[in-house]
Amino acid sequence: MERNAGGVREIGPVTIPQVEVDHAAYNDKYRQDMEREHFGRVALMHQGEVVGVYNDRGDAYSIGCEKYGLGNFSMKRIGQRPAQLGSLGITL
Amino acid sequence: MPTFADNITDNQILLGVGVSVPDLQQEGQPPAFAGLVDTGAQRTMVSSQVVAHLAATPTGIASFMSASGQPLETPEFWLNINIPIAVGSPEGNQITFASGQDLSVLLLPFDPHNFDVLLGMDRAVDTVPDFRWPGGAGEHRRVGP
Repeated sequence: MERNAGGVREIGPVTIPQVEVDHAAYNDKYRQDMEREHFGRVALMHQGEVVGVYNDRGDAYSIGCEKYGLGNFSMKRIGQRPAQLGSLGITL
Repeated sequence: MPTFADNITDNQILLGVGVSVPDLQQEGQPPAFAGLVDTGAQRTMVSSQVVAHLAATPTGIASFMSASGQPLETPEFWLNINIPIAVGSPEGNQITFASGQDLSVLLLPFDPHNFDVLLGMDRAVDTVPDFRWPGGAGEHRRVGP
């Protein structure tokens, strides 16, 4: 993965500024408390802050779209471990 | 439990997969991409071609395990994944229709040459794959319960 001059990570045609901000903030500020109190639920994030915790990704997505608009929020499954990709993982 | 059925070609299970962004108004059928079924993968993944075609916006960053044991990060997207489903009719015929499911899918870290969607068990878990090897009777195998 590469970063452009603005520090935004790019993967092919994908540019991901909002999710980068939220991801860093989650790891720095929220991960420990969230995993202790809301393991398995879904955190809805906006501008580096957790703004809600839901039982279902679909609920978090709908509320995120309604309140902030697609592209202005992110979701984090609390406590989710890295996915195993089977045979594909062997190539990576 | 519904099944999905397709032929195995070149030792790969490839399905026509419709992909769309949930809640966005669009006309007609969702665009179709080649999907490779991988029963060893926990998560469904899409190529950057799918993301670019749909102009999809990432909804998070997730990690997956590489062969070295090192977790790698990739963007994730909330997408509707449609696969063809076969259901028996009362008359004994097979009716095929698309079954859609909203899923959090990961961006593939490379663009495969022969598929754009890697169908993991998060998509396949509620169906019984029913695959046919070309050649007819005796070469029909079922995967799943």
